[in-house]
Amino acid sequence: MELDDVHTILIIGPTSSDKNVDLSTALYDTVDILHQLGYKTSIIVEDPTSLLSSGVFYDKTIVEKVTGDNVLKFVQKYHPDAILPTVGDRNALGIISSLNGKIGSTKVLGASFSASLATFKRELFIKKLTKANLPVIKFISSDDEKEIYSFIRSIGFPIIARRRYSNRHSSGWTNINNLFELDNFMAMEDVSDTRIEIERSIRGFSEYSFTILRDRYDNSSLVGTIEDIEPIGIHHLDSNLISPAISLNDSKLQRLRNYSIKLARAFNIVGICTVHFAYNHTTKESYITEFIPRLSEETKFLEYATSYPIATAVAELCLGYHLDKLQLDAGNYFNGATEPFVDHLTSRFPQWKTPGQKYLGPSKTSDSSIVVNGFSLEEVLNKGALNDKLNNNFDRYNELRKLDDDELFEKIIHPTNWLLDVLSEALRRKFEMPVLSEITGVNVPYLNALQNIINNSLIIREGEIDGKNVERMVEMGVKGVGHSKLLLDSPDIVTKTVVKNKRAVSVGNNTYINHNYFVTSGISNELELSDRKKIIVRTPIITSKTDIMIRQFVLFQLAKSIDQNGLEPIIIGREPWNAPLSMRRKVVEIDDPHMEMKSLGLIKQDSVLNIIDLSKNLVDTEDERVFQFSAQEIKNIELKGDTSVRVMVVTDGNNFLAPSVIYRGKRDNHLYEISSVNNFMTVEDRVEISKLIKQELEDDNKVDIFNFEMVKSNGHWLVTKKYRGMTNDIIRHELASSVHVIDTLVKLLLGNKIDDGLSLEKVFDNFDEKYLLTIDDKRYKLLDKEEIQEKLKELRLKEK
Amino acid sequence: MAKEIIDGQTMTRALTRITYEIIERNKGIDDLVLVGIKTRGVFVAHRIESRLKQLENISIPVAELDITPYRDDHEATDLTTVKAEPLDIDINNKHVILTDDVLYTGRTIRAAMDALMSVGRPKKISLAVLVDRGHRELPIRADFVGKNIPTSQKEKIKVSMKEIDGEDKIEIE
Amino acid sequence: MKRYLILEDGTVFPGEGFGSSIITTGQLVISNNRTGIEQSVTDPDTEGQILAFTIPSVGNSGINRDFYESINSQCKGVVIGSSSLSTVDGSVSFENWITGLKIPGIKNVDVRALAKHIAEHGEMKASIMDTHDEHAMDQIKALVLPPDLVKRVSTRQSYPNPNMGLKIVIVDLGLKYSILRQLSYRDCNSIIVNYNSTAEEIESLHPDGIIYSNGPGNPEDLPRTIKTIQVLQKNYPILGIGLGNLLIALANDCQIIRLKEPHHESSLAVKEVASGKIDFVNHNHSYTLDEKYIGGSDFIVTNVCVADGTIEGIRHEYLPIMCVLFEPEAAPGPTDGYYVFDEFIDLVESVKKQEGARNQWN
Repeated sequence: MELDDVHTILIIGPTSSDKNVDLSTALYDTVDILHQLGYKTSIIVEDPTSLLSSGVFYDKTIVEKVTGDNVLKFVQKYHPDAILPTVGDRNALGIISSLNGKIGSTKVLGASFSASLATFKRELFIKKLTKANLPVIKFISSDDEKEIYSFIRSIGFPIIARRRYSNRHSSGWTNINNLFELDNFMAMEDVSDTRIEIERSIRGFSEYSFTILRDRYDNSSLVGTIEDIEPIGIHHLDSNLISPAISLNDSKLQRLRNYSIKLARAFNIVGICTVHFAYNHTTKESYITEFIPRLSEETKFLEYATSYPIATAVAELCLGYHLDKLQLDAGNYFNGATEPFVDHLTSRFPQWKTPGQKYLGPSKTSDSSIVVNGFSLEEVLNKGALNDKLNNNFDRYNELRKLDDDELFEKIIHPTNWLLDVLSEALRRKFEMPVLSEITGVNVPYLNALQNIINNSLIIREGEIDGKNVERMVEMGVKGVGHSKLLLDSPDIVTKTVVKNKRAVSVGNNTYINHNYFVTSGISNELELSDRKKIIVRTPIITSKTDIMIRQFVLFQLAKSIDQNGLEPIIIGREPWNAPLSMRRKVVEIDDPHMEMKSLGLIKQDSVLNIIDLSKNLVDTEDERVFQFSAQEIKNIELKGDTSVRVMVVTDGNNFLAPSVIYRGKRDNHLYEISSVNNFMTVEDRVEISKLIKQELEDDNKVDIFNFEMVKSNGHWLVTKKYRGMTNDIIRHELASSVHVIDTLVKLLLGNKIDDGLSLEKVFDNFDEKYLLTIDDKRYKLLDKEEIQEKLKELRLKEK
Repeated sequence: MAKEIIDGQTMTRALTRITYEIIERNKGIDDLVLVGIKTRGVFVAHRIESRLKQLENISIPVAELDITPYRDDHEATDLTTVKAEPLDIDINNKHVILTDDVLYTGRTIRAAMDALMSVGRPKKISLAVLVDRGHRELPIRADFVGKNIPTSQKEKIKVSMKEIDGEDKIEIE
Repeated sequence: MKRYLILEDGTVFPGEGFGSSIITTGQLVISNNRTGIEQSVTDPDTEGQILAFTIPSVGNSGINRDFYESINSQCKGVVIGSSSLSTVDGSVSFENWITGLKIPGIKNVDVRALAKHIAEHGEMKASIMDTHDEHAMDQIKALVLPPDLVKRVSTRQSYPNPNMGLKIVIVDLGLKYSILRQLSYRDCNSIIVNYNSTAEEIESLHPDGIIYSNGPGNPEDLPRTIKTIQVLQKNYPILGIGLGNLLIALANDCQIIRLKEPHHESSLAVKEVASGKIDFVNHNHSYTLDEKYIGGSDFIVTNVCVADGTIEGIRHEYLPIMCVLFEPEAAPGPTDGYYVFDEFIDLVESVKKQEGARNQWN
């Protein structure tokens, strides 16, 4: 049944570029299942911290630039049976398309050479799709006027056109809607050797994406659909996304579904394929704009929206498993042949690190995203894109209010990331919906939802609140009314703020258990908790990629440790945490965008042992049980030195452990960092450093984590920085020791103690076998004991 | 240029339909034996066998038949000197269903029947083919046909099957 | 206006009324259809039912007049969660459409809680009312649902759907128009007849094949139709769909059972037993065949539901009879099941050819 000739697999890992989306959970799930099914996996990765694990899954971890050359080198040296490019983002497909004919009998899983190549080469993409009778935007690149006009006659207006010069540069695309504009464009003076490129214009079309799973036996299922609120022309990941696609009627939905399956078949893609469509609801035209035969931001979003274990399924499908006989872990079967039914909406809306308006266009500018759930459009908009706490919408409102109509209109024509706020303001001024829809390409039902929201906020502003209005507002996810006394005291059965499971009621929809919940409206609660005592972990909103990695890692380790210590982990955040699959069955995860959980009183106070808070600023400092996890600066002395260490310390208030020390040396204009130097520290260093720590901790008598930076000055260590809580360094410390610190912390919070009178060896104990060398904060090497000792000796010799 | 006239799905459906017809026209399939003509006829036989097994939970024996030595359109072969490869199953008093991918002149089937008769005495011989393309030169008719495809004699029919060609399809060129 | 959905076990779900303001009562069915509200509301299968749709934001996609499955609406009421007042394609909005059809509706209902309740306690009667006092409770408890659902939806007079191909007689048990669309697409020359037509009446039309259509209600309420099948199946290729399938099974000494988890979902996986091929198709049935009786019959199981193992299709071993319990015509749902009609046409043609051959040789 499975591919019997595949035993060893090389995984093309992610690059460490900031532009990449974070696929760490998908990567973890992929290698986890491969490991459990008995495959030997190796990985090429640039930054080993993106693995979320200390390498137990891997046969070989190669820390190198993820390039075609390095993949080829690996293949020639180790001859893996197969290469898996599904978790390596776009880069991995580029590598696959460059390997054609060079890797002998090594198989490529997932996307074929031609599929990979067609994601880059437009001509091939068009050719393949045309041959398969799939709708693709016709395109011409020619210097022959006759050919150009004949092409235009065949496709009609509107079109977009540009000139491509011999130096491979090109002019920007010009919109051409009629003969007059065409004449103007053609009349422009030609530099010699210029080709004209023309294609059908799809500006303003609605954008949809369909993701299908396909097994080797040609069974396909539509695992999820997404629609963009913003039209084509604005990058998909800069748009507000809604899943499932709710604006397609049956024949439209089935048509796009059939196209998607046909495309995967045409390229013989096994595993996963996301297909993007442009759809014009007026003319009913549809085009395939691109396809993504790998795991991506879309699949990550869908995995959350549908609760279907996509990454795990894809790994198994690639290896030849039947769609209806997949496994969650070795031996635990589930029916993968399902088109998951969801009874609520999941929305992903983009986030920008810096405030202010950003013009939106075909290139992505957003830095991250937040996901929310709800049962109506109004609810997901109010919790997400219009949630003042996340986007400062009230400030936007005040600023937009000052504009005159012309200025506002300008903002409607040139869309920014404030588009929904701008449209709301326009609706307040009674601009007509069909006109707004026509200009912006935002479909009328969304405008209607905005209008509904406006009408209801008017009620709040004008103070006409009664039980009925409050109920309606709760349904719309308006903040602050969620736990209104008015509703709780009502004698009638009313809709109030409740917690619902992510899972809908559907035939046989219980083969992949998880405990994902979201705060929403309804008449009954679904939150089910075990009898175990609980530790609640509260997570803040996160916008930078490094922080996302840290959150992924910390939450995973915390949840694992809480569970292993016999407690129930409850993760509550404004946005969901997509836990690795193995953890999803054990952790209770609650999305609470308006932070209403506390006032709902659904978790019995006396069942909660501790609350670990990951946010920077704490609200409830008076609660003894709250432990602030993230770093607060306590000491910061400006002292530069070429040699320093960073020490991670965990204390029970009495004794402490320091399982990870990072050595840092500036030599010859390069910065070297070595993890886990504990094992090679001199006795003098140990004595001195532990003495310094003891001094620093003198006044602390509670369980806590500390991070120190110590600089070597005149042969002695000096504490220059001190943080209470965990700094971003946590993923720079070698993974195993970080895990150790987090686990120790959980144990100490539960009342365990560190033994008195531990030897210095024990205090600095560290079990690592591989050592991470970081050069200039961006290059990584994974070295073994001898190699690292060599390097350390070299660095120490040059200590001043 | 080769043009695909039958895709993988249609081929799969055709094989399923042949299986239903075999069940329908044989009260009890206990005495059935499938004999596939090399190369693709063998895969046809195996696919029918696996379908019968799924539906009726009965395993039907499948044998392979290499009829190259029997072909009378084969030049320079002395028919009298070639001994049939012994089939590894007993066909005496069995209902043999011969399977092949394409039925054309009928000469292959005649050769196959010769070969069968030389190793035993079946109760009955039926014929199942994926494609009947016409142009018979002998009075032979298939009992189970996946698809009738009218062709000119100049055209070529190319059957691809997953087991050997990587994908299921039938092309015409 | 605030209205209430009241179940026969006394459970109350509040919501806001729309559409017709009459008090309505019927069998409550939870539909997990992703799309095709138009199709469900006009589907004769939903005769006498109050339909609760669990999808969010109902109506965004607009109402398509080409999707009707019968001329009139059939269901007795609709229950939804959130809805949209306007449509993406400028067509009539969902609520206006329901109002036009004079069907009572109730929205902003916690449909998740409702679906969960039905999953736990089974399908039951329900009513949409203005109050939820004791009087209302008594009313719904006293209600008896009519058993003659098929009689209400089946055509009274025979009518043709002319074309030039095979002649197919369709016994209308609550026929969806999409079955006719599929037959038209295959050039079939169809005649649609009343569910109680006798074997002689049908034979007098000289069909090449007969289809027993989908329909509402309990098949055990239709003994006459079962008798007719027993006569006709000896001489004609037959396709049974949904209720038609159940009747054919009953005509051949098989038994049916009520499903613990009823199938009302536009996309559920069905596996073809012979080849292992998986198709996603629309399901709309609360009964299935009892596996115990299939083994002793002349039927073989051809299709099963992947999610719960329910039998979804059978075929007679010797007679040209094929049946599916799912809805091969989709409407709504994925079009993977269309091949069933091709298979039936193949079946009819191969029977014709055999007869032709027999006639020649005899």
